Amino acid sequence: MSAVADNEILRLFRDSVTKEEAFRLLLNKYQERLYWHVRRMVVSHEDTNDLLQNIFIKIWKGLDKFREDSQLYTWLYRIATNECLSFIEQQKKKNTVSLSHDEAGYSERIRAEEHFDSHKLEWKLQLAIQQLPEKQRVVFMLRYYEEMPYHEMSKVLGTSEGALKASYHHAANKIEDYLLNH
Amino acid sequence: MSEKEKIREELKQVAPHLPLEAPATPFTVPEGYFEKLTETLTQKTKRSTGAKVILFSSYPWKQLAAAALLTGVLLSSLYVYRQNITLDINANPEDWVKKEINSVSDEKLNSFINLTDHTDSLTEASNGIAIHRQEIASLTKDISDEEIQALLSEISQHTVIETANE
Repeated sequence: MSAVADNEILRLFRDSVTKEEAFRLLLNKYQERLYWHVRRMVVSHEDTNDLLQNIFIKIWKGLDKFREDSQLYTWLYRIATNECLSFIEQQKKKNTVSLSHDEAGYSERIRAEEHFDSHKLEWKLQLAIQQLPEKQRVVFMLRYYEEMPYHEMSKVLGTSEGALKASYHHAANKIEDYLLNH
Repeated sequence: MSEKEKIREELKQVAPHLPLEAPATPFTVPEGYFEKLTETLTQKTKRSTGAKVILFSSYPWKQLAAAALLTGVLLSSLYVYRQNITLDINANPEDWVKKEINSVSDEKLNSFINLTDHTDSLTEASNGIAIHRQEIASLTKDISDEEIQALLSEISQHTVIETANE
């Protein structure tokens, strides 16, 4: 079944009779993509599940106000990314008290994952990503995994295209270094 | 050039040892998770679609404010109702007077009371003069007119001398 176009989802959402159907279409189209975007950021499935539910509730509440100045998927990624960054920030604040999780904490979570294999490239890549500062991590993931153009990424993160390009290049270099040295 | 091709070219330049195609994310997801998530979220949003019910119990100050407002409205209504009852002077004269007095301003009442006091004092004054005249008459009944005239002329002479001395 081919995915319904975003403008069709929006049209259906604005009609109270088809609003729920539109939301279901939106979920079918985007929930997996957003799940993986969040999961790569926070690693734990439980945290991802909680965050994803909050994200979709926010989308449900805010979609009426979406003015189509940007593409729908850009708007969805902006909500998801902001939610993730807020969560990571909260975790950091907690950790300054409890001294439990930090970047190394996220790496530990990856190592604790089922089927973890430190020799496999896909696992090493996840470990390498966790070494990055969180904003650089988002930039790398949006470009590398989501193949997002810089001008769209700029709308998601509210940062200039030039700064994003520089950030992506730094991130790619660091990850390459990590992969070559581990 | 497509975005995918642009990204590959860029990556070749920046980090040539990175895989050009992103490998699959190795994390696992519980079986049937996405189907369940769709259902969970659909249910949650359905609940939020219903009429918005604001629980008063969540806002105790609102309860108090509502109670105060209701009491105020009831008391005002009662007051207005009582004010508008038409009384029959013959059937209930006492209440009629009370109502009429209530409808007169304090200023008017005060001025009326002052007027009453003034009348009383005049009455007292005129009564006092009458008593004084009676007393004088009883005291002078044994004195002849000639003696009174002589006394009066003596008093007037004394008064003239005292005035001259001053």
